[in-house]
Amino acid sequence: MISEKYWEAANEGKLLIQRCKSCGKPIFYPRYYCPECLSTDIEWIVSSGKGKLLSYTVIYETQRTDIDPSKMPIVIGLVELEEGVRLITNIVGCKEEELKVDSEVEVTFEDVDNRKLPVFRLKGGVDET
Amino acid sequence: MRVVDILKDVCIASYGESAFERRSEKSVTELCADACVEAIKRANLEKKDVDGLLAVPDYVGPDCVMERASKVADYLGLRPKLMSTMDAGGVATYNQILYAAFAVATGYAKAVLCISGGKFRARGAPIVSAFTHPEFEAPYGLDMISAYALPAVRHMQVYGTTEEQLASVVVSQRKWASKNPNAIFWEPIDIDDVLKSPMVAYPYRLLMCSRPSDGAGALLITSTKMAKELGIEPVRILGVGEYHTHGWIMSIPDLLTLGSREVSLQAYKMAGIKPKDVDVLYLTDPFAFLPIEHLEDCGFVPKGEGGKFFEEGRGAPGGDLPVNTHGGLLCGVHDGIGPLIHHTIEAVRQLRGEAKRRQVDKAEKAFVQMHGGLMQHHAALILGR
Repeated sequence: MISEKYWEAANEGKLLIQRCKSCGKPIFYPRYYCPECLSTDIEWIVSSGKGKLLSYTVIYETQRTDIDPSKMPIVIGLVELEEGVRLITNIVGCKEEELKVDSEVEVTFEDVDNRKLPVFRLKGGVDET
Repeated sequence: MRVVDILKDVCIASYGESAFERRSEKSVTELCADACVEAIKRANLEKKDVDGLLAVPDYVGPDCVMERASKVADYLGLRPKLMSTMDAGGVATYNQILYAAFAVATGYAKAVLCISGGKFRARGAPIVSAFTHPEFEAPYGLDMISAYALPAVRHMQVYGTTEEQLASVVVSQRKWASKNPNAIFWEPIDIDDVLKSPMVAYPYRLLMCSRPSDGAGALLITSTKMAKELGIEPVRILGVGEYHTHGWIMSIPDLLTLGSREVSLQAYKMAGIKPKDVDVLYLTDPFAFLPIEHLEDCGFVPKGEGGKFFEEGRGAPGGDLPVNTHGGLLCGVHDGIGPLIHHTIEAVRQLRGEAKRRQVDKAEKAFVQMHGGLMQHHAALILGR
Protein backbone atom coordinates (compact mmCIF):
# COMPACT_ATOMS: atom_id res chain seq x y z
CA MET A 1 0.00 0.00 0.00
CA ILE A 2 1.33 3.40 -0.93
CA SER A 3 0.61 4.88 2.50
CA GLU A 4 2.75 2.30 4.33
CA LYS A 5 5.75 4.66 4.40
CA TYR A 6 3.57 7.41 5.86
CA TRP A 7 2.51 5.29 8.83
CA GLU A 8 6.01 3.84 9.35
CA ALA A 9 7.40 7.37 9.53
CA ALA A 10 4.61 8.47 11.87
CA ASN A 11 5.62 5.67 14.25
CA GLU A 12 9.10 7.24 14.27
CA GLY A 13 7.67 10.69 14.99
CA LYS A 14 7.98 12.05 11.46
CA LEU A 15 5.24 13.54 9.29
CA LEU A 16 5.74 12.59 5.65
CA ILE A 17 4.09 14.15 2.64
CA GLN A 18 4.78 13.64 -1.05
CA ARG A 19 6.22 15.99 -3.65
CA CYS A 20 6.06 15.68 -7.41
CA LYS A 21 9.62 15.65 -8.80
CA SER A 22 8.31 16.71 -12.18
CA CYS A 23 6.31 19.86 -11.30
CA GLY A 24 7.21 20.40 -7.67
CA LYS A 25 3.66 20.20 -6.32
CA PRO A 26 3.34 19.03 -2.70
CA ILE A 27 0.81 16.18 -2.37
CA PHE A 28 -1.39 14.87 0.44
CA TYR A 29 -2.95 12.23 0.85
CA PRO A 30 -0.43 9.77 -0.68
CA ARG A 31 -0.96 9.04 -4.37
CA TYR A 32 0.65 7.24 -7.31
CA TYR A 33 -0.10 10.19 -9.60
CA CYS A 34 0.59 13.88 -9.15
CA PRO A 35 -2.85 15.59 -9.14
CA GLU A 36 -1.27 18.59 -10.89
CA CYS A 37 0.60 17.00 -13.83
CA LEU A 38 -0.19 13.24 -13.54
CA SER A 39 3.51 12.42 -13.28
CA THR A 40 4.38 9.24 -11.38
CA ASP A 41 7.80 10.62 -10.43
CA ILE A 42 6.89 11.34 -6.83
CA GLU A 43 9.14 11.53 -3.75
CA TRP A 44 8.48 11.46 -0.03
CA ILE A 45 9.62 14.48 1.99
CA VAL A 46 9.59 15.12 5.72
CA SER A 47 7.22 17.97 6.56
CA SER A 48 8.32 20.62 9.01
CA GLY A 49 5.15 19.69 10.89
CA LYS A 50 4.30 23.37 11.18
CA GLY A 51 1.16 24.87 9.77
CA LYS A 52 -1.87 27.06 10.14
CA LEU A 53 -5.31 26.13 11.52
CA LEU A 54 -7.71 27.02 8.68
CA SER A 55 -10.73 26.00 10.69
CA TYR A 56 -11.90 23.68 13.41
CA THR A 57 -14.94 22.36 15.21
CA VAL A 58 -15.59 20.66 18.52
CA ILE A 59 -17.75 17.53 18.32
CA TYR A 60 -19.97 16.96 21.37
CA GLU A 61 -22.25 14.33 19.91
CA THR A 62 -21.18 12.23 16.96
CA GLN A 63 -23.24 10.57 14.25
CA ARG A 64 -20.70 7.78 14.23
CA THR A 65 -21.43 4.53 15.99
CA ASP A 66 -17.79 3.34 15.81
CA ILE A 67 -16.53 5.95 18.27
CA ASP A 68 -16.80 5.63 22.04
CA PRO A 69 -19.04 8.52 23.20
CA SER A 70 -16.82 8.95 26.27
CA LYS A 71 -14.12 10.31 23.92
CA MET A 72 -16.22 13.45 23.30
CA PRO A 73 -15.60 16.29 22.94
CA ILE A 74 -13.21 15.83 19.99
CA VAL A 75 -11.55 18.82 18.30
CA ILE A 76 -11.36 18.41 14.52
CA GLY A 77 -9.01 20.73 12.64
CA LEU A 78 -8.35 21.51 9.00
CA VAL A 79 -4.63 22.34 8.91
CA GLU A 80 -2.58 23.78 6.07
CA LEU A 81 1.05 22.75 6.38
CA GLU A 82 3.88 25.16 5.53
CA GLU A 83 4.57 23.02 2.47
CA GLY A 84 1.09 23.87 1.14
CA VAL A 85 -0.99 20.71 1.65
CA ARG A 86 -4.08 20.44 3.82
CA LEU A 87 -5.12 17.70 6.17
CA ILE A 88 -7.87 16.76 8.59
CA THR A 89 -6.56 16.15 12.08
CA ASN A 90 -7.26 16.56 15.79
CA ILE A 91 -6.12 19.56 17.80
CA VAL A 92 -4.98 18.37 21.23
CA GLY A 93 -3.83 19.86 24.51
CA CYS A 94 -5.86 23.07 24.52
CA LYS A 95 -9.14 24.47 25.76
CA GLU A 96 -11.94 25.23 23.29
CA GLU A 97 -11.74 28.96 23.99
CA GLU A 98 -8.04 29.00 23.03
CA LEU A 99 -8.83 27.84 19.49
CA LYS A 100 -8.77 30.47 16.79
CA VAL A 101 -8.64 30.20 13.01
CA ASP A 102 -5.22 30.98 11.50
CA SER A 103 -3.47 29.97 14.74
CA GLU A 104 -0.04 28.44 14.25
CA VAL A 105 -0.03 24.73 14.98
CA GLU A 106 2.60 22.00 15.07
CA VAL A 107 2.48 18.25 14.76
CA THR A 108 2.66 15.84 17.64
CA PHE A 109 1.88 12.13 17.74
CA GLU A 110 -0.71 10.23 19.74
CA ASP A 111 -0.88 6.49 20.42
CA VAL A 112 -4.08 5.20 18.86
CA ASP A 113 -4.78 1.51 18.09
CA ASN A 114 -1.13 0.48 18.47
CA ARG A 115 0.19 3.11 16.12
CA LYS A 116 1.16 6.78 16.20
CA LEU A 117 -1.47 9.10 14.76
CA PRO A 118 -0.26 12.56 13.67
CA VAL A 119 -2.27 15.23 15.50
CA PHE A 120 -1.57 18.91 16.10
CA ARG A 121 -1.32 21.30 19.04
CA LEU A 122 -1.31 25.07 19.21
CA LYS A 123 2.26 26.38 18.86
CA GLY A 124 3.64 26.97 22.32
CA GLY A 125 0.82 24.86 23.79
CA VAL A 126 1.20 22.07 26.30
CA ASP A 127 2.28 18.70 24.97
CA GLU A 128 0.16 16.14 26.77
CA THR A 129 1.36 13.17 24.77
CA MET B 1 -25.30 23.89 -30.72
CA ARG B 2 -25.64 25.86 -27.49
CA VAL B 3 -27.12 24.48 -24.26
CA VAL B 4 -29.33 27.56 -23.88
CA ASP B 5 -30.91 26.86 -27.29
CA ILE B 6 -31.51 23.18 -26.48
CA LEU B 7 -33.25 24.14 -23.24
CA LYS B 8 -35.62 26.54 -25.00
CA ASP B 9 -37.80 23.70 -26.27
CA VAL B 10 -37.82 21.81 -22.96
CA CYS B 11 -39.70 22.39 -19.73
CA ILE B 12 -40.57 21.12 -16.29
CA ALA B 13 -44.13 20.01 -16.93
CA SER B 14 -45.19 18.49 -13.64
CA TYR B 15 -44.22 17.49 -10.11
CA GLY B 16 -45.32 15.28 -7.26
CA GLU B 17 -44.38 14.66 -3.64
CA SER B 18 -45.06 11.93 -1.11
CA ALA B 19 -46.08 12.71 2.46
CA PHE B 20 -43.04 13.74 4.54
CA GLU B 21 -42.57 11.97 7.86
CA ARG B 22 -39.75 11.38 10.35
CA ARG B 23 -40.48 7.66 10.01
CA SER B 24 -42.81 6.45 7.29
CA GLU B 25 -44.45 3.02 7.22
CA LYS B 26 -43.92 2.95 3.47
CA SER B 27 -40.82 1.66 1.70
CA VAL B 28 -38.69 4.07 -0.34
CA THR B 29 -40.02 2.57 -3.58
CA GLU B 30 -43.59 3.10 -2.32
CA LEU B 31 -42.81 6.72 -1.42
CA CYS B 32 -41.28 7.25 -4.87
CA ALA B 33 -44.39 5.71 -6.44
CA ASP B 34 -46.59 8.22 -4.57
CA ALA B 35 -44.55 11.10 -6.01
CA CYS B 36 -44.53 9.63 -9.54
CA VAL B 37 -48.27 8.99 -9.66
CA GLU B 38 -49.00 12.53 -8.47
CA ALA B 39 -46.68 13.95 -11.15
CA ILE B 40 -48.26 11.81 -13.90
CA LYS B 41 -51.81 12.75 -12.85
CA ARG B 42 -51.02 16.45 -12.53
CA ALA B 43 -49.76 16.41 -16.12
CA ASN B 44 -52.93 14.69 -17.43
CA LEU B 45 -50.51 12.13 -18.80
CA GLU B 46 -51.09 8.45 -19.36
CA LYS B 47 -48.65 6.06 -17.78
CA LYS B 48 -47.65 4.63 -21.16
CA ASP B 49 -46.47 8.10 -22.22
CA VAL B 50 -43.68 8.07 -19.62
CA ASP B 51 -40.67 6.79 -21.53
CA GLY B 52 -37.86 7.85 -19.22
CA LEU B 53 -37.17 7.34 -15.52
CA LEU B 54 -34.18 8.66 -13.58
CA ALA B 55 -33.71 7.96 -9.86
CA VAL B 56 -31.09 8.37 -7.13
CA PRO B 57 -29.42 5.57 -5.14
CA ASP B 58 -29.90 5.08 -1.41
CA TYR B 59 -26.92 4.08 0.73
CA VAL B 60 -27.84 5.79 3.97
CA GLY B 61 -31.17 4.22 4.90
CA PRO B 62 -32.72 1.01 6.23
CA ASP B 63 -34.20 0.30 2.79
CA CYS B 64 -31.03 0.62 0.68
CA VAL B 65 -31.24 -0.01 -3.03
CA MET B 66 -28.31 1.29 -5.02
CA GLU B 67 -30.21 1.01 -8.29
CA ARG B 68 -33.58 2.47 -7.44
CA ALA B 69 -34.92 3.38 -10.90
CA SER B 70 -35.81 -0.15 -12.04
CA LYS B 71 -37.47 -0.92 -8.71
CA VAL B 72 -39.80 2.05 -9.04
CA ALA B 73 -40.46 1.22 -12.71
CA ASP B 74 -41.21 -2.40 -11.78
CA TYR B 75 -43.58 -1.28 -9.00
CA LEU B 76 -45.51 1.01 -11.35
CA GLY B 77 -45.42 -1.34 -14.32
CA LEU B 78 -43.30 0.98 -16.43
CA ARG B 79 -40.98 -0.24 -19.17
CA PRO B 80 -39.30 3.00 -20.21
CA LYS B 81 -36.83 3.49 -23.00
CA LEU B 82 -34.47 5.60 -20.89
CA MET B 83 -33.48 4.67 -17.34
CA SER B 84 -30.65 5.32 -14.90
CA THR B 85 -29.89 5.84 -11.22
CA MET B 86 -27.67 8.89 -10.86
CA ASP B 87 -25.65 10.31 -7.99
CA ALA B 88 -23.78 13.51 -7.25
CA GLY B 89 -25.31 13.94 -3.80
CA GLY B 90 -27.83 16.78 -3.80
CA VAL B 91 -26.75 17.75 -7.31
CA ALA B 92 -28.28 14.46 -8.57
CA THR B 93 -31.52 16.38 -9.14
CA TYR B 94 -29.66 18.73 -11.46
CA ASN B 95 -27.96 15.80 -13.24
CA GLN B 96 -31.37 14.20 -13.79
CA ILE B 97 -33.02 17.36 -15.09
CA LEU B 98 -30.17 18.07 -17.51
CA TYR B 99 -30.02 14.49 -18.81
CA ALA B 100 -33.78 14.43 -19.21
CA ALA B 101 -33.77 17.81 -20.96
CA PHE B 102 -31.07 16.72 -23.42
CA ALA B 103 -32.98 13.48 -24.12
CA VAL B 104 -36.26 15.32 -24.70
CA ALA B 105 -34.64 18.03 -26.84
CA THR B 106 -33.06 15.46 -29.14
CA GLY B 107 -36.19 13.33 -29.35
CA TYR B 108 -34.48 10.42 -27.58
CA ALA B 109 -37.32 10.42 -25.03
CA LYS B 110 -40.59 12.35 -24.70
CA ALA B 111 -41.57 12.37 -21.02
CA VAL B 112 -38.94 11.71 -18.39
CA LEU B 113 -39.68 11.32 -14.69
CA CYS B 114 -36.85 12.46 -12.38
CA ILE B 115 -37.35 11.02 -8.92
CA SER B 116 -35.64 11.12 -5.58
CA GLY B 117 -36.65 9.52 -2.34
CA GLY B 118 -35.23 7.96 0.75
CA LYS B 119 -35.50 7.02 4.36
CA PHE B 120 -32.46 8.97 5.46
CA ARG B 121 -30.61 7.76 8.55
CA ALA B 122 -27.51 9.77 9.38
CA ARG B 123 -25.99 7.42 11.95
CA GLY B 124 -23.68 4.49 11.54
CA ALA B 125 -21.17 2.99 9.16
CA PRO B 126 -22.54 3.78 5.66
CA ILE B 127 -22.55 7.50 6.25
CA VAL B 128 -18.94 7.41 7.51
CA SER B 129 -17.58 5.42 4.59
CA ALA B 130 -19.45 7.55 2.04
CA PHE B 131 -18.21 10.87 3.32
CA THR B 132 -14.88 10.49 5.13
CA HIS B 133 -11.56 9.23 3.78
CA PRO B 134 -11.07 5.87 5.51
CA GLU B 135 -7.35 6.28 6.17
CA PHE B 136 -6.75 10.02 6.54
CA GLU B 137 -10.03 11.48 7.87
CA ALA B 138 -12.08 8.77 9.58
CA PRO B 139 -9.45 7.99 12.29
CA TYR B 140 -9.82 11.55 13.60
CA GLY B 141 -13.54 11.19 14.28
CA LEU B 142 -14.71 13.34 11.37
CA ASP B 143 -18.42 13.01 10.59
CA MET B 144 -20.80 14.94 8.33
CA ILE B 145 -21.74 17.61 10.86
CA SER B 146 -18.13 18.36 11.81
CA ALA B 147 -17.12 18.62 8.14
CA TYR B 148 -19.94 21.09 7.55
CA ALA B 149 -18.87 23.07 10.63
CA LEU B 150 -15.46 23.92 9.12
CA PRO B 151 -16.61 26.67 6.68
CA ALA B 152 -18.98 28.02 9.35
CA VAL B 153 -16.30 28.53 12.01
CA ARG B 154 -13.91 30.21 9.59
CA HIS B 155 -16.67 32.49 8.27
CA MET B 156 -17.70 33.44 11.81
CA GLN B 157 -14.16 34.38 12.82
CA VAL B 158 -13.20 36.14 9.57
CA TYR B 159 -16.47 38.05 8.95
CA GLY B 160 -18.01 38.20 12.42
CA THR B 161 -21.01 36.02 11.54
CA THR B 162 -22.76 35.15 14.82
CA GLU B 163 -24.54 32.16 16.34
CA GLU B 164 -27.69 34.34 16.49
CA GLN B 165 -27.46 34.86 12.72
CA LEU B 166 -27.19 31.10 12.18
CA ALA B 167 -30.25 30.67 14.39
CA SER B 168 -32.11 33.31 12.35
CA VAL B 169 -31.78 31.11 9.25
CA VAL B 170 -33.67 28.35 11.08
CA VAL B 171 -36.30 30.78 12.41
CA SER B 172 -36.83 32.17 8.89
CA GLN B 173 -37.36 28.71 7.40
CA ARG B 174 -39.65 27.64 10.25
CA LYS B 175 -41.89 30.60 9.40
CA TRP B 176 -42.14 29.32 5.85
CA ALA B 177 -42.59 25.70 7.03
CA SER B 178 -45.55 26.77 9.18
CA LYS B 179 -47.33 27.58 5.90
CA ASN B 180 -46.49 24.18 4.38
CA PRO B 181 -48.82 21.39 5.55
CA ASN B 182 -46.30 18.75 4.43
CA ALA B 183 -43.31 20.22 6.35
CA ILE B 184 -42.10 18.06 9.22
CA PHE B 185 -40.85 20.85 11.51
CA TRP B 186 -43.48 23.58 11.30
CA GLU B 187 -43.97 24.71 14.91
CA PRO B 188 -42.89 28.36 15.28
CA ILE B 189 -39.64 28.85 17.20
CA ASP B 190 -37.48 31.83 18.11
CA ILE B 191 -33.75 32.51 18.22
CA ASP B 192 -33.57 31.52 21.89
CA ASP B 193 -35.13 28.13 21.23
CA VAL B 194 -32.43 27.43 18.65
CA LEU B 195 -29.61 28.70 20.87
CA LYS B 196 -30.84 26.64 23.83
CA SER B 197 -30.91 23.37 21.88
CA PRO B 198 -27.96 21.05 22.64
CA MET B 199 -24.61 21.65 20.94
CA VAL B 200 -23.81 18.85 18.48
CA ALA B 201 -20.63 20.17 16.81
CA TYR B 202 -19.69 23.81 17.28
CA PRO B 203 -21.33 26.03 16.06
CA TYR B 204 -24.19 23.69 15.19
CA ARG B 205 -26.85 23.10 17.79
CA LEU B 206 -29.47 20.42 17.24
CA LEU B 207 -32.04 22.81 15.74
CA MET B 208 -29.42 24.13 13.29
CA CYS B 209 -29.15 20.64 11.75
CA SER B 210 -31.54 19.21 9.17
CA ARG B 211 -33.11 16.06 10.54
CA PRO B 212 -32.97 12.85 8.53
CA SER B 213 -36.46 11.81 7.52
CA ASP B 214 -38.58 9.97 4.95
CA GLY B 215 -40.08 11.21 1.70
CA ALA B 216 -39.87 11.37 -2.08
CA GLY B 217 -40.35 13.81 -4.93
CA ALA B 218 -40.76 13.64 -8.70
CA LEU B 219 -40.37 16.08 -11.59
CA LEU B 220 -41.57 15.47 -15.13
CA ILE B 221 -39.55 16.82 -18.06
CA THR B 222 -41.20 17.13 -21.49
CA SER B 223 -40.95 19.37 -24.53
CA THR B 224 -42.65 22.75 -24.21
CA LYS B 225 -44.84 21.73 -27.13
CA MET B 226 -46.04 18.57 -25.38
CA ALA B 227 -46.74 20.47 -22.15
CA LYS B 228 -48.86 23.01 -24.00
CA GLU B 229 -50.78 20.18 -25.72
CA LEU B 230 -51.48 18.74 -22.25
CA GLY B 231 -52.80 22.12 -21.11
CA ILE B 232 -49.87 22.76 -18.77
CA GLU B 233 -48.17 26.08 -18.14
CA PRO B 234 -44.53 25.11 -18.75
CA VAL B 235 -41.76 26.14 -16.38
CA ARG B 236 -38.68 26.82 -18.44
CA ILE B 237 -35.02 26.28 -17.66
CA LEU B 238 -33.42 29.66 -18.41
CA GLY B 239 -29.93 29.10 -17.08
CA VAL B 240 -27.78 26.27 -15.74
CA GLY B 241 -24.37 25.95 -14.11
CA GLU B 242 -22.30 23.05 -12.79
CA TYR B 243 -18.91 22.61 -11.10
CA HIS B 244 -17.27 19.93 -8.94
CA THR B 245 -14.43 20.88 -6.61
CA HIS B 246 -13.19 17.95 -4.50
CA GLY B 247 -13.87 14.45 -3.23
CA TRP B 248 -12.85 14.65 0.45
CA ILE B 249 -13.32 17.62 2.74
CA MET B 250 -9.53 17.90 3.31
CA SER B 251 -9.27 18.87 -0.39
CA ILE B 252 -11.87 21.64 -0.32
CA PRO B 253 -10.18 24.51 -2.23
CA ASP B 254 -11.69 27.41 -0.27
CA LEU B 255 -13.80 27.44 2.89
CA LEU B 256 -15.01 30.99 2.32
CA THR B 257 -16.05 30.74 -1.34
CA LEU B 258 -17.73 27.52 -2.40
CA GLY B 259 -18.38 26.24 -5.93
CA SER B 260 -21.74 27.99 -5.78
CA ARG B 261 -19.92 31.16 -6.86
CA GLU B 262 -18.80 29.58 -10.16
CA VAL B 263 -22.14 27.89 -10.93
CA SER B 264 -24.14 31.03 -10.24
CA LEU B 265 -21.96 33.02 -12.67
CA GLN B 266 -22.53 30.36 -15.35
CA ALA B 267 -26.31 30.37 -14.79
CA TYR B 268 -26.68 34.19 -14.71
CA LYS B 269 -24.70 34.47 -17.94
CA MET B 270 -26.82 31.89 -19.74
CA ALA B 271 -30.12 33.32 -18.49
CA GLY B 272 -28.99 36.90 -19.12
CA ILE B 273 -30.18 38.02 -15.70
CA LYS B 274 -28.66 39.42 -12.50
CA PRO B 275 -29.28 38.50 -8.84
CA LYS B 276 -31.66 41.46 -8.48
CA ASP B 277 -33.95 39.87 -11.10
CA VAL B 278 -34.58 36.79 -8.93
CA ASP B 279 -37.99 36.64 -7.18
CA VAL B 280 -37.67 33.43 -5.15
CA LEU B 281 -34.47 31.77 -3.99
CA TYR B 282 -33.66 28.19 -3.01
CA LEU B 283 -30.41 27.54 -1.14
CA THR B 284 -28.95 24.23 0.03
CA ASP B 285 -29.39 24.07 3.79
CA PRO B 286 -28.29 20.82 5.47
CA PHE B 287 -27.00 22.99 8.33
CA ALA B 288 -27.90 26.56 9.28
CA PHE B 289 -24.67 28.18 8.06
CA LEU B 290 -24.83 27.00 4.46
CA PRO B 291 -27.58 29.36 3.20
CA ILE B 292 -25.48 32.28 4.47
CA GLU B 293 -22.43 31.30 2.43
CA HIS B 294 -24.43 30.35 -0.69
CA LEU B 295 -26.38 33.62 -0.56
CA GLU B 296 -23.07 35.49 -0.69
CA ASP B 297 -21.47 33.22 -3.28
CA CYS B 298 -24.48 33.56 -5.60
CA GLY B 299 -24.09 37.35 -5.48
CA PHE B 300 -27.24 38.31 -3.56
CA VAL B 301 -25.28 40.11 -0.82
CA PRO B 302 -21.60 41.09 -0.49
CA LYS B 303 -19.20 38.61 1.13
CA GLY B 304 -19.66 38.55 4.88
CA GLU B 305 -23.17 40.00 4.88
CA GLY B 306 -25.18 36.79 4.54
CA GLY B 307 -25.84 36.50 8.27
CA LYS B 308 -27.21 40.04 8.44
CA PHE B 309 -29.63 39.26 5.56
CA PHE B 310 -31.31 36.49 7.55
CA GLU B 311 -31.11 38.39 10.85
CA GLU B 312 -33.10 41.21 9.23
CA GLY B 313 -35.73 38.71 8.05
CA ARG B 314 -35.14 39.45 4.38
CA GLY B 315 -35.53 35.75 3.41
CA ALA B 316 -38.57 35.14 5.64
CA PRO B 317 -42.27 35.64 4.77
CA GLY B 318 -42.71 39.35 4.01
CA GLY B 319 -38.99 39.77 3.24
CA ASP B 320 -37.68 41.22 -0.02
CA LEU B 321 -36.13 37.93 -1.24
CA PRO B 322 -38.01 34.85 -0.02
CA VAL B 323 -35.62 31.92 0.65
CA ASN B 324 -36.62 28.23 0.88
CA THR B 325 -40.35 28.94 0.96
CA HIS B 326 -41.21 25.29 1.70
CA GLY B 327 -39.03 25.14 4.80
CA GLY B 328 -35.97 23.63 3.11
CA LEU B 329 -33.98 20.69 4.42
CA LEU B 330 -33.88 22.27 7.87
CA CYS B 331 -37.65 22.31 8.40
CA GLY B 332 -39.36 20.73 5.37
CA VAL B 333 -37.74 17.36 4.76
CA HIS B 334 -34.26 15.86 4.31
CA ASP B 335 -35.04 12.49 2.80
CA GLY B 336 -31.73 11.14 1.55
CA ILE B 337 -29.29 11.52 -1.30
CA GLY B 338 -31.36 13.80 -3.57
CA PRO B 339 -33.49 15.99 -1.27
CA LEU B 340 -33.01 19.13 -3.37
CA ILE B 341 -35.72 17.81 -5.65
CA HIS B 342 -38.05 19.39 -3.08
CA HIS B 343 -36.35 22.79 -3.47
CA THR B 344 -36.83 22.48 -7.23
CA ILE B 345 -40.45 21.35 -6.90
CA GLU B 346 -41.21 24.31 -4.64
CA ALA B 347 -39.61 26.69 -7.17
CA VAL B 348 -41.88 25.22 -9.87
CA ARG B 349 -44.90 25.55 -7.58
CA GLN B 350 -44.11 29.22 -6.89
CA LEU B 351 -43.63 30.00 -10.59
CA ARG B 352 -46.95 28.36 -11.43
CA GLY B 353 -48.75 30.22 -8.63
CA GLU B 354 -49.63 26.95 -6.86
CA ALA B 355 -47.92 27.56 -3.49
CA LYS B 356 -51.15 28.50 -1.70
CA ARG B 357 -50.56 30.14 1.72
CA ARG B 358 -46.91 30.67 0.98
CA GLN B 359 -47.30 31.97 -2.57
CA VAL B 360 -44.88 34.82 -3.32
CA ASP B 361 -46.33 37.72 -5.34
CA LYS B 362 -45.10 38.04 -8.92
CA ALA B 363 -42.81 35.01 -8.74
CA GLU B 364 -41.45 34.97 -12.27
CA LYS B 365 -37.83 33.95 -11.85
CA ALA B 366 -36.57 31.34 -9.41
CA PHE B 367 -32.94 30.58 -8.60
CA VAL B 368 -32.19 27.08 -7.29
CA GLN B 369 -28.66 26.69 -5.89
CA MET B 370 -27.60 23.12 -5.21
CA HIS B 371 -24.66 21.47 -3.55
CA GLY B 372 -24.03 17.80 -2.90
CA GLY B 373 -21.91 15.56 -0.70
CA LEU B 374 -19.60 17.55 1.56
CA MET B 375 -19.91 20.68 -0.62
CA GLN B 376 -18.02 19.08 -3.54
CA HIS B 377 -20.80 19.06 -6.14
CA HIS B 378 -22.31 22.38 -7.21
CA ALA B 379 -25.08 23.36 -9.59
CA ALA B 380 -27.49 26.20 -10.26
CA LEU B 381 -30.80 26.34 -12.10
CA ILE B 382 -32.60 29.51 -13.10
CA LEU B 383 -36.24 28.72 -13.80
CA GLY B 384 -38.91 30.98 -15.23
CA ARG B 385 -42.41 31.08 -16.63
